Amino acid sequence: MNEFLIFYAPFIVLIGVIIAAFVISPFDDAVTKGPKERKKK
Amino acid sequence: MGNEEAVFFSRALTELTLSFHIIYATIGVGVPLMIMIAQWVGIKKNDEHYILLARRWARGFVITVAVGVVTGTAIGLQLSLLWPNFMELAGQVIALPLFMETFAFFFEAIFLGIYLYTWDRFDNQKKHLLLLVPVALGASFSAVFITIVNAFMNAPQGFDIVDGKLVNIRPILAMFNPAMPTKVAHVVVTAYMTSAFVLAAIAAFRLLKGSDHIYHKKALHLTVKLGLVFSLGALLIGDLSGKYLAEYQPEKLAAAEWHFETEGEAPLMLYGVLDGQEVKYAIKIPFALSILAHSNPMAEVKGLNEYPADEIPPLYIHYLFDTMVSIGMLMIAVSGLYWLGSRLGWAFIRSRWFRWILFAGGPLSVLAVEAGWWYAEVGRQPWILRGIMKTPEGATTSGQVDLMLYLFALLYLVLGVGSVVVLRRMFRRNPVEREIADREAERIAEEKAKGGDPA
Repeated sequence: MNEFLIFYAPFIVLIGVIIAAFVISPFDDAVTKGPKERKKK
Repeated sequence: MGNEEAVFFSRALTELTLSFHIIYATIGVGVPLMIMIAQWVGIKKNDEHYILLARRWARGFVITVAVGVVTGTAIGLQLSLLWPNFMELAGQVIALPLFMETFAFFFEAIFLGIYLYTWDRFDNQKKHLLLLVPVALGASFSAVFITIVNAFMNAPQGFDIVDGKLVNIRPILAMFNPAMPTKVAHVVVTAYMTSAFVLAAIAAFRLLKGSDHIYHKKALHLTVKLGLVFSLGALLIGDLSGKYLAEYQPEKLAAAEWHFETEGEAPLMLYGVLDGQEVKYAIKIPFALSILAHSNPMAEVKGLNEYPADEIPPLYIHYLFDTMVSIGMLMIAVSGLYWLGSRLGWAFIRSRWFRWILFAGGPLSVLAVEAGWWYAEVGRQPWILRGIMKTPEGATTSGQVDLMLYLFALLYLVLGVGSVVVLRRMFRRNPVEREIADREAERIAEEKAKGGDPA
């Protein structure tokens, strides 16, 4: 288990957060739409 | 100048160079990914603001690359000149990633040039975006390869020493040393995190200065979200680094935590003052050091008393470790609050005081990176190559290092002030509002020339 955490897990986390960054980036309703518009959606 | 002085000035000059270089290197590694994400969002949403974000970030990025090249070259030079005995020994084993770092940089620089000169040359923006892939990969892999060299200094392997000579050299094994995965991942993810928070600080500053343009709001929203994701990544990888340290460099972890006696159920010490071996006024988090080291609250953590006094790192690294961790946690809290507030419609995230905090996040993240590197380097002492060569053994005996220190300090002052002045002028003379208006006018003129309807 420790070998996995030290040798493999760091790269899995790194790749994971890069993918997550691309996934969350396009969502900007919080700044482009008013609260009412967002509620309608 | 005696040998002790030569070692002192060699260490001072290396510290100064690394501390200065790391600011530009961190931005240089992280910003290409931010540009790529902004341009990708712009294409995906057909939103000119994100495309403009990418364009403006790319312009600023060039300045940091230019300074990073100068300081990076200085590091290469100083490694050979200030640490000749270390390079003579380690160079036989770990030269491969040093060369690969150079090639990664060439890869980045060539495609960056093409990327910058081909804006508006592609009808399909996706093709232009593809040019950024090698730029971002080259930037990140530069960090990967140079961090591999640093990891090797912490956990050297891939050779045997017979009669004081290195034999049976295996460069690939040396590269894939136990320190490599956690160090590489931590350096890369914190470069992304710091870049995101520095860009967020710029957007927050523009909003604080009175601009209410949606461009800055989108920039702030995007970068704070990215900062949150990457700082969570840094937290997870930091936890994995604790496990690496407990297994391979326990004295470094123990020194950072002022952990003297080997014991189970070890608490994590935050801040405090050291009086002999007694820790006063610290915030103790029960079991946390055992969990950090071995994922088990009962696990035994090795204490400093297990090591000879001359092999224990300076104990002030506790404060460097705490600075890095505290800023990291603060940035997670601030960006997390922003994200939650933006989803739930909390008004305070648009308040001036909160924007000031977001603005402070930029320089604070840079400080965290500095503290992290100081912890990494000082925490390895007294070794330059752990277990094999002590720092004074690797240093030059030249009597001219003090003069070099003053001259390089002057160079970094000129470069630092110069780059800030150039960046300020570059963006002040060409504000976002004007650039958006110019691009809109260009678009209308193009449409008219084609005989279409500009609306």
